[in-house]
Amino acid sequence: MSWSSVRIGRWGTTTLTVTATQPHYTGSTQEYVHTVSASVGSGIGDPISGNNSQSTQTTTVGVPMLTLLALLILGAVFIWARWRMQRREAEA
Amino acid sequence: MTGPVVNKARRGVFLRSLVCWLLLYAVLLTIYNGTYHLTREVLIGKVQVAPASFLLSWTLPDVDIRYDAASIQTPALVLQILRGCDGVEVWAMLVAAMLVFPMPWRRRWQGLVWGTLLLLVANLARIVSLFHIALTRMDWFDIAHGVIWQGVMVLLTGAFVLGWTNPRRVSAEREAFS
Repeated sequence: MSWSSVRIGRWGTTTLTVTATQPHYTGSTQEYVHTVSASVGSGIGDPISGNNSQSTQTTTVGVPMLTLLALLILGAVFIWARWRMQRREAEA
Repeated sequence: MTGPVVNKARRGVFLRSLVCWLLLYAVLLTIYNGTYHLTREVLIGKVQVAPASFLLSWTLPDVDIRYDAASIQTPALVLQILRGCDGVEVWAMLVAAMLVFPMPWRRRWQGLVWGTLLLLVANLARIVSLFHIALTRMDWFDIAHGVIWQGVMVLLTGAFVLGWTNPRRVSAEREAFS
């Protein structure tokens, strides 16, 4: 998404362009990336031409701990631990 | 009693114990999800976000680290600690096992305390390291989060449970305190 506003100020000829990218989302890490950039196309006589654009990127991530598969593997370890206790009792 | 009868009885005890473990696990998760809006501020904010932010401020002194009830932020990165990020599913599994599996009460309570501390410290290390990775090498984040830390959590918890329920140690403690 991008839009421009021409003629900032009453008599100016400056062009402001702001660009916001579509947030990128990934399901596994619940990750969003937002990028917003703004630039000014100056008219004649800009004393500092190097500071006419700015971009910010914010990444938002969530960090769920375990997937269902990992939980199932862990559950199997617990069941095995319990079965091992049971076997020991039977041997005693 | 004859052998097959004894075996059948033991199998019954084993299965009952597993059913109790699963039921208790389900009850704990239901309580957690049902009261999440009440406990979120403590379980996420005070127990996870605040200590992790402190550790991050300490390890990243030049970065402006801020936090709110459920996220840690820099100008370029927001790490959200949501439901499921706090390790309660694994903790509930551990608590249910410690309460249901046969062992002396003293060992049970010690297992609960040490297991809780282990999961808490491991999850803080996970959050802090993932924040560092997201800040410096975002392309490593997926594998660090999805493969490495999941593997570490499964290995740590599995090793703890196998060690704590080791039948020889349980028997030795039972005999020592009987």
